[in-house]
Amino acid sequence: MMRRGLEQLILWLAPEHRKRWARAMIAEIPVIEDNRDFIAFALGCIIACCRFRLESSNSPTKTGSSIVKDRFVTLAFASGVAAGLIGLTYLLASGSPLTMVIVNGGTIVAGIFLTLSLRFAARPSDQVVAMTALIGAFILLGTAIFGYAIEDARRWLLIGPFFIQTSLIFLPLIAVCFAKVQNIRTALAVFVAAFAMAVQPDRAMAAMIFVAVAIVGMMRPSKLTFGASIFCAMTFATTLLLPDQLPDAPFVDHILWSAFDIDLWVGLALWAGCLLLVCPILFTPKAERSIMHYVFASCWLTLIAAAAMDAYPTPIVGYGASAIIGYFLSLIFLQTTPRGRLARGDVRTSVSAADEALPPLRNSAPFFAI
Amino acid sequence: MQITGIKPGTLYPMLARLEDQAMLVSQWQEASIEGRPPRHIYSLTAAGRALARSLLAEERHDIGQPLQAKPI
Repeated sequence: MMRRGLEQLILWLAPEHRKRWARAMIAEIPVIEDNRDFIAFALGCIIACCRFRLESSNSPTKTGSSIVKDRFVTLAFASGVAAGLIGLTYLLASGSPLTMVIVNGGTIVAGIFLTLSLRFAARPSDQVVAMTALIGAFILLGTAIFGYAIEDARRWLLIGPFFIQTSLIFLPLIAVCFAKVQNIRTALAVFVAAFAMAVQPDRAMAAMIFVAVAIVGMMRPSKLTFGASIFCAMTFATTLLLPDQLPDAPFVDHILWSAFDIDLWVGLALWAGCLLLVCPILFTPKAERSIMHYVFASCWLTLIAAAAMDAYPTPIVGYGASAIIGYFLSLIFLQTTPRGRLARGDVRTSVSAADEALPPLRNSAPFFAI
Repeated sequence: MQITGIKPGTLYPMLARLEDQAMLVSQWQEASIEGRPPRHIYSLTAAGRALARSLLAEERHDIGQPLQAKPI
């Protein structure tokens, strides 16, 4: 009689979407023969059902933890896709070569596919996070030493027919990894990456890693994060002293202003696309924001600010697959979490004659910078 | 539960969350003893096994036996 009553209570207490779990609990009851054990088990089940009910008061279908996890990542994913589509619209409206549209479009599709397919992948362990950060950092250093240079800047790796700006791919990832795990290995990755940015040199990216690491330093104060912040500040200061004046790359640099020459709406759309990249942090309730969210947002905000101020790539909305890859890659690491320079002369029919004087990267067929 | 000492009030919400995160799958299985109701059987997915291994590695323990579905 008492057993039956408690079974009914367990079933009644469980919210609708957790009734299956209540039945699973009840299914265990006949196995428990001792009454004392049964009462202890039943009380535990009642507590479990109360927890389910508390969770369902936040959301009818999800647990509290999954809401926190989902909201920022979902918003960031949607924002990235929307910004990417705005970028494609800009490329089409501005008369860019079709290859640029294909490269950006293909990368966005790949990013969507990769992010969705890894949506429920296992949370990367601290070792995986640290190793990823270290590998990324040494690729950046390798680029700074052996990469392709334009004037004084050595920022690109030649892979097949593409010039890849590795910092746009790996630096946001390293920043997210450091926000996720602060240990000696991720700190080493930050040191190596920041040093690589000074060697390349790249003010925008050096500023990005400095801001991201400073946020980690403020939110997780320790000797390690403080030391990393100071080192990143030094490397950023170094880039300010070194020459970093590349000419504008069409459809990549300064487009936040030049888009207004095409049409007012194109210019406004590009700014809206950039704002979309910052929206996830603004629309995530403060209580649900984590240090990784702040770092992720700061990375893209810094890049947008740099693109608005000087000849640096405009992420996602401008031409360039590197930033798109970097965006979705770092987003994947959050879950648990642009541009380029066309070189080929024969397809650059819509590029002005002034571009003929551009550096080799843009003129040496058949390579493309992404 | 008997082995780990985890109480049902903690265990079931934990299992539910793991299932929400696709770390675990559950299914009903007919009881081997006649007259008893079906039981809820749990097993780790590939992602769940990877998570378990990484957590165990962090604790510096090794998994000696492959994880198998067990009724609780």
